[in-house]
Amino acid sequence: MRIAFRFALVLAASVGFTLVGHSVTDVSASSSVSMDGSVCLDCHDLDDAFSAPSQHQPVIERDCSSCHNPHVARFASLLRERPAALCASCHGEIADGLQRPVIHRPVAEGRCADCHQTHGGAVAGLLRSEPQELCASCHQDATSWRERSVLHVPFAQGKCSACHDPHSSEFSSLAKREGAELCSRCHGGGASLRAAHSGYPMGASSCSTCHDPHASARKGLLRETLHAPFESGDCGECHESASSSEPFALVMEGGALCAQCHEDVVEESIGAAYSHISSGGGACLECHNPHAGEGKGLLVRSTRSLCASCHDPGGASSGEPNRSTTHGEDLDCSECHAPHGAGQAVLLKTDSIALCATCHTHEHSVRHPVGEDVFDPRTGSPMTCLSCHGIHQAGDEMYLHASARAELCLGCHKEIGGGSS
Amino acid sequence: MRRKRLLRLSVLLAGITHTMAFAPAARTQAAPPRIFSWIETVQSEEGLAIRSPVAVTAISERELVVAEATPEPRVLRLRRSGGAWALEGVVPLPAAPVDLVYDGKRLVVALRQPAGLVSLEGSDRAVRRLPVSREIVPGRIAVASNGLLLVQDLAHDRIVELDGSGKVARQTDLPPGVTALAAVSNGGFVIALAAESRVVRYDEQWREEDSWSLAGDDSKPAWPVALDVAPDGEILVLDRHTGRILALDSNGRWIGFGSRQGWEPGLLWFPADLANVSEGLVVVADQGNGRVQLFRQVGKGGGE
Repeated sequence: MRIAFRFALVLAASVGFTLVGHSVTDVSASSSVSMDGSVCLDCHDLDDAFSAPSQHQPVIERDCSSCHNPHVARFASLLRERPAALCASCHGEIADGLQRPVIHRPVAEGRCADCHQTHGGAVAGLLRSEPQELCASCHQDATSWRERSVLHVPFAQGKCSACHDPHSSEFSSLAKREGAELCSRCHGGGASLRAAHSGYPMGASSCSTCHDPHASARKGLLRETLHAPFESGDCGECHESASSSEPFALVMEGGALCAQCHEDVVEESIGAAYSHISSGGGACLECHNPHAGEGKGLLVRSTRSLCASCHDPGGASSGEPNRSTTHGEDLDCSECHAPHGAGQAVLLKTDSIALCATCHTHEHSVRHPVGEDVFDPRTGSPMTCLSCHGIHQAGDEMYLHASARAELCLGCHKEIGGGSS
Repeated sequence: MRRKRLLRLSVLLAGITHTMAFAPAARTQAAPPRIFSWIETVQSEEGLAIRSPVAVTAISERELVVAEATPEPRVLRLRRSGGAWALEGVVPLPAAPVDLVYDGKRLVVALRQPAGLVSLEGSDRAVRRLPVSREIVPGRIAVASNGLLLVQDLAHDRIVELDGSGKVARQTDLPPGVTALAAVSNGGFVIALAAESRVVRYDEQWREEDSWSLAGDDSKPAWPVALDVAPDGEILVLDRHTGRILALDSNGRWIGFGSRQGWEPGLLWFPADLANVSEGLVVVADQGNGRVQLFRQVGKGGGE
């Protein structure tokens, strides 16, 4: 009887503990507030942090328990809360920034410690390393930009945060201001700016469409490839004169204007059996920058990035597993797809068998039968490479559709699997 | 000893109770039901008449029309005769087709620029060029509730309603990147924006009324390329990248789906177009598999 009573008592106590679990945690927290951090230092060596030029405020105050529970915790390192939530409990302005439209990925994922030391460090802001080095550890393009001959001063000095907010922003690329407003903080405007742009009023323009804000091989940080009229300063080829009431107005409508020089491309685009949706009506500027761009074709960004911005077939933005943006190493989408229009569905440059054979010469000569005379029993249509290979959906080796090869083969060769053919 | 064991048990129980109370609840999302069942593959007895369908429409349950860009621009007319489908005729087109609709009297085909719009009329379905301004570059087309033609103008990112003489009777701007268009019985219309996995409905005044995001499958975002609206307001969406037919009710709620990517009968591979044939019966241009397939929506039109 006494045993049963004690069991009931413990159970009741445990349920009570459960129900007031938060209060218990609060009690332990409040009781430890007064605890001197020196007790912790009997075992935990934080000398490096204490001597570091940059120290976390609780470390300065030896208030270990503001972040750590000295007895028990649900999170690693006896943290009182999940790391991001813990940081946000003091740094509320960072948490407020989560409402903004553009958030730095480590911030969005609560990985504060990817960039910041938690106790102390050599770099201001408790950064793990100097900003240029820290940013380049993920943004690896920044390293190659340094090899260019013309560097933007803040970039050369490693002051990434002069233009970017490292946590969140209202503007793309985590910019501190939008477009020209950001640049004008240092570069000003007025007559000199206008004179440098053939008399056109550039005030509201987006400078980065023509200028690389980091580095360039060209004077004035102009982007790598320049449109011929732009390079020669013949703005009037495409725009009304600088003195007109609408100086940026085009002399002709989009696609028709481009067709004045690029007639073959525009014709290819709008007359193809399968046309790219963005170019079907001559919407050239969806993909091309009419002034300056990176690489061939004056694209507004690199081919893969540009295509993925709409199609995202490999989860470039979603980061989902088993999805690939590319087929093979360093292949651009335009290796297989005609970006303006094609005679084949999904804008393939030619029929899939011939297209694959341009690279896969060996496989093509010892292939599984394919072609017009070989019928896929599943569909009744001719077999092609695409009958078995997924190309983008690289869930399996050799881009096969099924994760198990037997499953793929038995889809057609049912007699081997014991089914009726 | 027994006391100790009981004490340990009670402490363990307390721990479990505590864990359960603080463990985050599993987030479950009810998947919509599969509501489309495969009926048949539409292929002529001769086989391989259909090669790479771009668009499809229905004249009746017994007569379907398919437009193809390759191997050559053409329209295929298929008629059910007895239990099988037969190829009734092939009409060459002057340019690659973009879309195809039936307005109750004639077939209308949107062609790649500069061909514009053509109609196929009469018993022999003779091709007749429709009078349309050359400034209009037709994309998707639909038949409005008043019988007039709705045309997506690719050159100007707008939708226009053309009167009988081909003049623009009404127009409104659209966002760029529209991949599908369908008319609504109240005089409005719906469009799809594939790159945004979104469907937008415009009311009878052609004002944006509602916008719904479409869920992808486990691996890919939805990529809507075709729409049709049933008389009861239900919206059918064809998802090219996942091979699914999605059904939204008139409030935009996702009520069910059918099919998935694949090659077997009933599965779709980069499908290009869909159309309501009759209540609950849907035809899909299964472009990647080079065929046309019919599906029945469970619980509609006598389907089970």
